[in-house]
Amino acid sequence: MVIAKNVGKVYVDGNMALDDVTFLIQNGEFVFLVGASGAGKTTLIKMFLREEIPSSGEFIVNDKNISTLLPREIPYFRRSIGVVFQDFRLLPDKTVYENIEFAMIVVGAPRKLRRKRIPEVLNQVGLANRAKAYPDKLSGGEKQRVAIARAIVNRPPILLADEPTGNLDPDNAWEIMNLLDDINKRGTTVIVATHAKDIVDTMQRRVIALEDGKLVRDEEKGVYGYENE
Amino acid sequence: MRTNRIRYFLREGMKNVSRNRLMSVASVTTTFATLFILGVFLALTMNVNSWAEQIARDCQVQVFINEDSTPEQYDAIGQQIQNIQGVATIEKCTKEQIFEEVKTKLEAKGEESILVGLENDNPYRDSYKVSLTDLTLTEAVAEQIQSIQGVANITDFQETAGIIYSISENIKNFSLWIIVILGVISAFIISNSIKISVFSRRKEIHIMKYIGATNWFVRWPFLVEGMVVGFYGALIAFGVIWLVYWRIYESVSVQFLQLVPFSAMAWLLIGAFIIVGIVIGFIGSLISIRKHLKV
Ligand SMILES: Nc1ncnc2c1ncn2[C@@H]1O[C@H](COP(=O)(O)OP(=O)(O)OP(=O)(O)O)[C@@H](O)[C@H]1O
Ligand SMILES: [Mg+2]
Repeated sequence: MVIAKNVGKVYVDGNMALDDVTFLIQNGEFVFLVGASGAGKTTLIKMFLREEIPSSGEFIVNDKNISTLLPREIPYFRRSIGVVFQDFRLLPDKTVYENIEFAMIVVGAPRKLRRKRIPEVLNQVGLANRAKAYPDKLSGGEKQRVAIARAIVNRPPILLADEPTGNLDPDNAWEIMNLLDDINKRGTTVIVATHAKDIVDTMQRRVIALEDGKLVRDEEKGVYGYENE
Repeated sequence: MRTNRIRYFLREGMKNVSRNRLMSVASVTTTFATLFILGVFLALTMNVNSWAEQIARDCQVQVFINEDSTPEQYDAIGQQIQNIQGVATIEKCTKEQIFEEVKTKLEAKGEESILVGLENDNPYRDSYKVSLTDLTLTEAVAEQIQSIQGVANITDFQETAGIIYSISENIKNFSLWIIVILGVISAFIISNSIKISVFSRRKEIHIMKYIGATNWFVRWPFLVEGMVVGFYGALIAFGVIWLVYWRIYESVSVQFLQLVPFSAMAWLLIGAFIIVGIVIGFIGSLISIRKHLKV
């Protein structure tokens, strides 16, 4: 469960990125985070990861108030959250398999578990036959699927995606969204910041809309709600 | 820590070294230079110490007996000297023996006329040559001998040994400072090299931090990198010192002084090199990673 209570964020340079944002996300929900460029979506995503903390208000993830986490608790806190980005962030000198394995090594998963688990996620994201490929040999959609596999391989209860389809053509974008939907149906809470109007409108999931840092709309089976520039 | 992880850290650290080749070479070279100089000073200290010991062994104190002593008293004094702690051996030198020795020396030069008329008025005195087990006891032994009834005076031979000891002390202090200064410089150069390595892997570090890697997990491969660099520097320094020392040993030993054989210092050198090299590498990399861990 995620609770944002009157969350405000002012960056050191005085930029007001979030302003009195309040919402509650239950376990197993699928949430779209929409808003114009600069509305504060990425800032909000960063709070889930405890990369930023609120300047005011409280942000609570899985019963942990991120403002009071000790530095040494942060790594363990982050293990309960998977994340994918618009630019994939794969390691170019590691194969698909190794990129995913990397996430398991980092959390100290034993080799036996890695051997069992990695083929599973590769299957789940539809890349079973690309395990030995290097990232530069993959299409954008495939890269994002590797990133998703890496994000979920340790079975975090929450998966974040910050504009996961921003670099993809519509077909690939749909495939990625369907994959996220599938992961959500298996029980993971999924939160997606996106500009993909068509997809948001079609999928009919909960939508939280931000405008200049303020939460202006929070609706079940919502729509994107405005035209992209 | 599981062996699983240790293997991962070692592999990643080694990978860093080869990826960061140019800087690694620079770091290995400076570490080598530091350790080489450390080796020179260690070898110097060991040799000076060994000379001091050699001199101590050869160095004897001469104890002169009062002119009016009887032969019995002369023997008794010898017995008392022998019982003093720190005395290794004593050798009796009667005034007749000394006179003969001097005479032979002078005859060799054709100057024996100096001694004419002195046969029955021997100007020398009975004495003992006393050698010590440990030169640091010289003063205590001398004092005790001096207090024996019937001893006229004693000569003081330990000056050279004392000088050599103080040289050896100075070399030790001086080399300690040199090592500290050079150590700081090499740690600094290693830290710069690791900084570049960290910078080139910043994306990876960023990803690791998102996945939930602890700071130590991020750090270890870089620490290994620093330590591997230090270790290579140590190996090269050992090899070069070995070669150089062997050359000097071959050409110097036979002539006038006996050098400590390399085998006697090999373990000390390799041990000191590896420890100092690894510590320098560890500290160097620890400094450089600190600020890149914030995400
Ligand atoms: N590190 C930072 N320091 C200062 N200001 C920042 C920082 N990061 C973001 N901002 C500002 O905060 C506001 C919100 O930025 P944010 O990145 O959250 O927007 P966004 O909704 O993700 O936009 P986009 O759709 O373009 O990704 C913007 O005005 C931005 O300039
Ligand atoms: Mg953004």
